[in-house]
Amino acid sequence: MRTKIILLLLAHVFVASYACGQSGKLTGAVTDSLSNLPLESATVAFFRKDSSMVTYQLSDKNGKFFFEKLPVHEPLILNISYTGYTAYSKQLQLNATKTDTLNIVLSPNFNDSNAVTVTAIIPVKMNGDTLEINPAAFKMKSDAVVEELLNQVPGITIWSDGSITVNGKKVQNLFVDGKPFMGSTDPRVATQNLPKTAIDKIQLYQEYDRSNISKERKPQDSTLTMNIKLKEDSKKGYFGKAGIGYGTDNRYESDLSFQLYNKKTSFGIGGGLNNINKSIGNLQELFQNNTYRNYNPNLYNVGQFGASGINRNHSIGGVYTHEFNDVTNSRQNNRITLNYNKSGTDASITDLTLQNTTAVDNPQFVKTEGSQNNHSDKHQVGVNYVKTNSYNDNFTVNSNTEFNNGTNASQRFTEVRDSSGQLQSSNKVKGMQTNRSDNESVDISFAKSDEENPIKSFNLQVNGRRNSAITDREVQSIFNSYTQAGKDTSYNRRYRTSSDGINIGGTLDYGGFKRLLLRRYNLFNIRMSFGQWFNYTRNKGTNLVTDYDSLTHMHIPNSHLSNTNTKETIEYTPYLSLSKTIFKWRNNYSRNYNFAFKVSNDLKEEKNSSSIAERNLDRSFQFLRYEGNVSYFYSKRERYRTYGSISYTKNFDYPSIDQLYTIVDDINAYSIRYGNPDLKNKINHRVSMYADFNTENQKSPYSINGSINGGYVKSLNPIVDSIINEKSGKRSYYTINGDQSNNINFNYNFNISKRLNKNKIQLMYNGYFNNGLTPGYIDTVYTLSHSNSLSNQFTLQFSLQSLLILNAGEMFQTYRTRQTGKGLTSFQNNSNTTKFGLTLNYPKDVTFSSTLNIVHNSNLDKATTLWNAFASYRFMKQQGELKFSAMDILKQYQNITNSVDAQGTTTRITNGLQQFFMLTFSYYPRKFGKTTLQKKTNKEVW
Amino acid sequence: MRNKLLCHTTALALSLLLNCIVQGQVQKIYLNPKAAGGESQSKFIDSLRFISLQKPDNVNIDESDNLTIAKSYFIIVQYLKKKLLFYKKDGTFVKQVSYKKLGNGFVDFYPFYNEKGNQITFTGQNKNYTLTQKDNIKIELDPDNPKNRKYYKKYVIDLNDTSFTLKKSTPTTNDISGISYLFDDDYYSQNKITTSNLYKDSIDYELKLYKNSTLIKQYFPYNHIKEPRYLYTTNYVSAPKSDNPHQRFVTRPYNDTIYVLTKDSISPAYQIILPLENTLPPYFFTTPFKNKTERENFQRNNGWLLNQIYNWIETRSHILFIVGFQSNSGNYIYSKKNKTIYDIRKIKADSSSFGIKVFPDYNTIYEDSLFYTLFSADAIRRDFKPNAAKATPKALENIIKTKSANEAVIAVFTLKAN
Repeated sequence: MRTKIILLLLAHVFVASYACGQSGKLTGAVTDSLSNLPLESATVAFFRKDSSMVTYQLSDKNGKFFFEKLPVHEPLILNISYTGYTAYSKQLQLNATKTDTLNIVLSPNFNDSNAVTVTAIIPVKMNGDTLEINPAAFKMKSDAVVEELLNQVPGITIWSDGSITVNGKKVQNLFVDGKPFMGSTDPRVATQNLPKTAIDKIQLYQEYDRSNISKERKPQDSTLTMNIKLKEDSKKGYFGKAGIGYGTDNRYESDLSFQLYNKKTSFGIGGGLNNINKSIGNLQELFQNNTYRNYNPNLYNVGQFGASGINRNHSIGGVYTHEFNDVTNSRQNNRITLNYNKSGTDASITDLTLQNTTAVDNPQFVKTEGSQNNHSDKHQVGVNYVKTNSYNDNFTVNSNTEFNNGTNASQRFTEVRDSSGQLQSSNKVKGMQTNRSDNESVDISFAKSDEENPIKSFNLQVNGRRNSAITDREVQSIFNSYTQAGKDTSYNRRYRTSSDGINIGGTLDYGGFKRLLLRRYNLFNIRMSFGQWFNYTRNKGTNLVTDYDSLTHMHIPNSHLSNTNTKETIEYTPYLSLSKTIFKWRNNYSRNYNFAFKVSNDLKEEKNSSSIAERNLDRSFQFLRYEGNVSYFYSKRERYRTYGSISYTKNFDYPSIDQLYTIVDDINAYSIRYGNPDLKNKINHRVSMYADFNTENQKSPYSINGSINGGYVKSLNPIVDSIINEKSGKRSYYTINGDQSNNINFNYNFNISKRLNKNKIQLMYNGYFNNGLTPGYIDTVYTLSHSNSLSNQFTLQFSLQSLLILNAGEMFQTYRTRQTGKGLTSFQNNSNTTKFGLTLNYPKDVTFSSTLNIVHNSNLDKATTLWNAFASYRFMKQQGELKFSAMDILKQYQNITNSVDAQGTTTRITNGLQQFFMLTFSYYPRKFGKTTLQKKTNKEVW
Repeated sequence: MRNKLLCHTTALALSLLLNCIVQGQVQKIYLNPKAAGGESQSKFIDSLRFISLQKPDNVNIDESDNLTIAKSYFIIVQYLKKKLLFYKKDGTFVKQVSYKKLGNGFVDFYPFYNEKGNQITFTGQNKNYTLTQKDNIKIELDPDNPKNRKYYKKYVIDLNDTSFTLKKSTPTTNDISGISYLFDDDYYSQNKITTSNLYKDSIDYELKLYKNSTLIKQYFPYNHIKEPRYLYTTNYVSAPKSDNPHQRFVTRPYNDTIYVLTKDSISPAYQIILPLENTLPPYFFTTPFKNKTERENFQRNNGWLLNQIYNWIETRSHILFIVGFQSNSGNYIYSKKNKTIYDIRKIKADSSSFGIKVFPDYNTIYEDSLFYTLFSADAIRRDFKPNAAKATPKALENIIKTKSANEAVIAVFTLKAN
């Protein structure tokens, strides 16, 4: 079935490509009527009868132009314009069999007093080092948003995940009139909401990344920035979405997203309420998911069938941004952003967990059935202030406060059986918990560099944190052993845990060190900086534990578990960094090599005071560390660019007080943990590598990019577990030092997009690979635990203009764990998910879309299929939308997840959403400037 | 202080008075950068001929190479290959010299032909030191201090010596102070314009004329500490050659007037009148920028406002010049007869020059009333178009007929008298 659907999709793609192949060609030249000289850079554009632009070119230095793949058997209007000349216009109809030739002679427009001004509508031009796109040159429907416009511009690719690349390079910052829009630099809020008619022009340029202030400037560190310049009369406006829906099975949802802005201030509110597991907790995410765009709706901003349980989510929040200066560039900023968000969830989860756990000669099968009801509430308040005068200075203050409270009631029943199915032990746990916490943080950063006064180059970061939490927990746990008499336990235990923590830290990186030390001497152009890192942390905790005495019916303090603990840590690391870059330029390429070396001295003092005598411990450490990095960058002009780096770091970890002197609590019979006062420090050797590649050929219909990121870590004396499966069925973990462990991981992606006239086909591939080797003991048998995970995901998207968007994807995942210890068991599970998506924007104002996910899991006999379908209709001048959602049409979705660790594999099945149907009404209030969007005309001249 | 102010004011008033008196003699040229049109190249050039440059093994001349003209030699400067190629004026190859510092960092060790000594000099900063703008000012304030010489390096190729050996030389006071040869045997000029609070005296002059090492005249006073238009930047007065060996043209930053400088006087000769949209606003001259960033923002946001006029070349019939705007530039040719300005980028090659645009946007040298443009063999092959009515010059024919030939050519021409 799946294969058929894939074949059908591919057939459709090829039919579309073939249809595109039936095209006409036109060649010709533009000359001046007086001198008979060729006119270079004359704009030669084709329009349809409805004035929508088909394509355009600028004539070459000989005045020549050559078009391929023009529509045939269709009346087209050819328009040729040149500054100071009378424009030429002609209706044509091409056929596919021959190449038409047209030589056009333009006459100077002596009578036109405006002849010296640029009146031609030029779609794209370079202005210095900035690429400028003129929206007026692209005829589109009145409600088209910026993203639809960008989709029409050669060299720009809108990827199916919403990211934008220009000639292969990703747009990292998006500004509106030089500033982050609604306080966010994510492109989607602006590009999927702002109408094309409100835009004066779109600029693309490279910008210096301020995070590198006081460091060496290298080409690969610049960021591609898109700036949307609004028309003067559109510099204030509002837009948003208010939606409400109700469906079968008592399902409901509501979304609110409303933003208004003027030249200096923007304000947005957002929120929602639903019981369909739809994520609404993050305000910026909410803005991004409720945009006006509908030609390619986000098919996954719906109820999440993969989420555990049934969750009632609510949120409400707002963000206010004010710019204190009047400039419209991104170099000078003086901006404050305030945000508040309240969110919460009421969750009801039942789950069944099946585990395979290795043990010597006797693997265990663990089955747990549980249920829980959670309630959580969160208030977040944030303040962000940014002040910059240029690319050489940066002052930011970021402050956040968070209040959380929650309750949880749960019960679980666990059975452990041996390989023959014989019951070994069981554990019944019932718990109640309330918690509340608050966290406050402030980060201040000030960086400055000055080529004229290098002694004043520095980068200072200071941060402060405070947190406090109180948790009350009551646990009733009954453990029964069926293999050893007298080992049953029964607890009714209360925990009251309170903690307070404070942290103050800072980094001063002094780039003027070389100038201070060596004055004008250059030291072979080696860059040098001296830095210092300081950190102070104090954590104070009180644990009051009581056990219920069934004789006295009272809770008796547990002196073994109750304790107070205060840990103070002072850390100071001075470091010296050296780096050198070798640049090389040629006519058509540039490249550079960078070598960096850093040596650090970690000085640490830790004082632990505790009511438990053995945990009173003062320790001090000194670690001399070093790290190095080599990177290479190569750019072939207008062809491609590539970057690669490899780095090595060495660092040390020392065991924590809880690993040395663990307070042993056996209330969880399957995880009783013991400390080890003889633990040694861990040494980590880490090698990381990164490489990327992207094409930059604007003339090519292809856009290709890819990257690979990987690392290898070898740890000496790693802290690992020696696991003892006791006869009673209890499981104990003893902390020990292994000889060494290592881990290798890679993640990678490759994307290719091809433009076929106004249609696009994209293939996105990403994956990761992880392989770990960890030593340990299981039932006193030494074992090396090999764990391996591999994931590969392909997504193919075909867009037939804005009419039809098809998606097909496949994801393969494998988890494997293997033990070298004799008698221990290895495990493996596989899953693969096939995804299809379709969006059809036809007839006018109507959008049909559907998603189909087919999940195969090696632990299940039968595949699980989730089929959702949607139909929406826009009316009320495109501002009202009625949407019908049919979720889990086949009514067979099961919520199953797999995971693997050194001890075995876990399959978890939870309750979750089941089939429902919903009708949603949404209203999109929109106004840009003085007149509403619909009344705007399209007479822009550039 | 009061005396200085009085002196400054008087000098400024005299300068304005002089300006007014001679204003009537100044020829006004109206330039609308957007409206400057194109023409056929044959309307301008005359006496076109091509000199073939002999090609030894291991020598390739690319489009990016530059031409310098010495008394007896053509010198091809290959910045990317770090080489200098010496040719006799008939195109015979003489010698190639490798020099790895050539054009280092885009600012240092550019070849400068010293016609007085018939030598090529390369002066640049010693890469063992990093100098800030303040360092440079401090050093220039004490140019005779021998300790300051270590910050610079100088190399010389004596063209009177046919071995063309690159020799290390000692930077002179003139090299450190930026004083360069102007005309006649003994006239020099200093034309760097900077502002800094390191200067004790608030008055300086944009152009200083020296006879040997004696300062004899100063023109165009400005506030050396806080002149608004010169804050946070370094500018230079430009002094291009004229056909008269005893005079130079002079152009100044943010000024539309072209002056003629002789050893005795300076007088305005031309004025480029730009549209209002290209003209600097009055506040630019009176309101100081608060910081370097503000200045950079002004430049970026006002890309088409006048910065300076450069490369003023005047023949009997035409004037060629470059207008540097804040962040753009334009190359223009003015016909004295038609009183029309053409945009050089829009001038098209035609069959009379075999399709080769000998008037490129850059890299054309004007020397002894002749224009010289260097072409690589690839550029000739790409642009060449045969002219049935005209025999193909041998220098071109060799390149066109044999694809293996890689001799570069130099186009030599004059401008038509009308």
